[in-house]
Amino acid sequence: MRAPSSQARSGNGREPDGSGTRRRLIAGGLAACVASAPPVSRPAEARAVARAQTDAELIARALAVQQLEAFAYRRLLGSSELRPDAVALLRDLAGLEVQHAAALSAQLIRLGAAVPAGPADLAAADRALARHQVSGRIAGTRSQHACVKLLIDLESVAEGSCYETIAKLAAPELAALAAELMGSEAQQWTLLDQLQHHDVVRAVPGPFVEGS
Amino acid sequence: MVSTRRALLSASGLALALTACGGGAGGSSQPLSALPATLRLADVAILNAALDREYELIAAYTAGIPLLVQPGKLAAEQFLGQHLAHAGELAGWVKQAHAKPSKPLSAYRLGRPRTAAGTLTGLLSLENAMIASYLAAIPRLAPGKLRANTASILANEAQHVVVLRSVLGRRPAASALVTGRV
Repeated sequence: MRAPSSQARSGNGREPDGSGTRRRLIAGGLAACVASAPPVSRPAEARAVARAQTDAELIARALAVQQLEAFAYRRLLGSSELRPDAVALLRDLAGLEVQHAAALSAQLIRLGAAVPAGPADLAAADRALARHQVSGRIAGTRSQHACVKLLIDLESVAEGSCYETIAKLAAPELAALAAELMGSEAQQWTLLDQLQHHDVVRAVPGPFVEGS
Repeated sequence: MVSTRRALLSASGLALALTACGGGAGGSSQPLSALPATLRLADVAILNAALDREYELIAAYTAGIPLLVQPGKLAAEQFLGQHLAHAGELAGWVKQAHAKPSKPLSAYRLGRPRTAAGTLTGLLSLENAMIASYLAAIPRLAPGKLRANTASILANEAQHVVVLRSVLGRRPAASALVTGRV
């Protein structure tokens, strides 16, 4: 993922769109409390606290990508230029993204972190796409080809997000969850590419999936 | 697959195929980024177990492709090449740890599929088992980079699953999380 470093803090109240919410303010307050708390005396506990914070940040970043995907699917499904087979597939995949976001949100709650809100509106989603170096924008995208291309690019971002997250997560069980998600994102990439190009070879282009 | 017939795949043939794809020398056409130098003995054992499963899949695709028809055949040929690349990469990681990669068996019990659909079903089952085994391995691997690179292979296997399910007329993406459990 080629996100700027500010986005890495999305779980701690610095959302890409810069908007403030009560939930984020609470998260910020919690972070401040943690920062001002007396140091944990036992090294193992200190490591555990540090690990939980880091993992929460990583999960929050991954969640932001899933929320962006869910938003993009939902909006692009409104295009009147989608054929029925495309509508059926995109509906299916949109449902998967919602489940991905729910799975990551549950982990964030388990870690005691705030769950960030998804993109507030179309402009915020398009700004997030730009930050991820996706060339397309949701606003104004209507043709089926353009809609599917944008979603394929976004799936690549999601794959890259999972790949990077897995490499950095401290908790092994979270790495396994991120791998399950990454497998699903890769499947979605393949299904969208098949819809676009009707070419099974092209739809599974290489032996290693790393995303963008 | 329950089996009585053995795939006619010799160890030397498999080794030849691995050499042809750059495997066994630690590389593939698109190698993943380098791993930290500190792979543990436990990591090597996990990687070699994964390598054994990749060998089995390579044997299954090699034996199954002649039974397939399009579009499954084209996909299976593509997937065979990708499994060869996985095996090459895994063997390379083991070598990076100054250990010996496991070698393919001289033969594999692959069942007796008589139809293209039966063959695809068997391959799908093996792909799912491979995914489940990678998922079990990932939390046990120590370096984060190794976990990520292993997930990169798993994600490709997940793509194989979705295509095989499509060809078999099943709902391609059966669940939001890819677990290898059917």
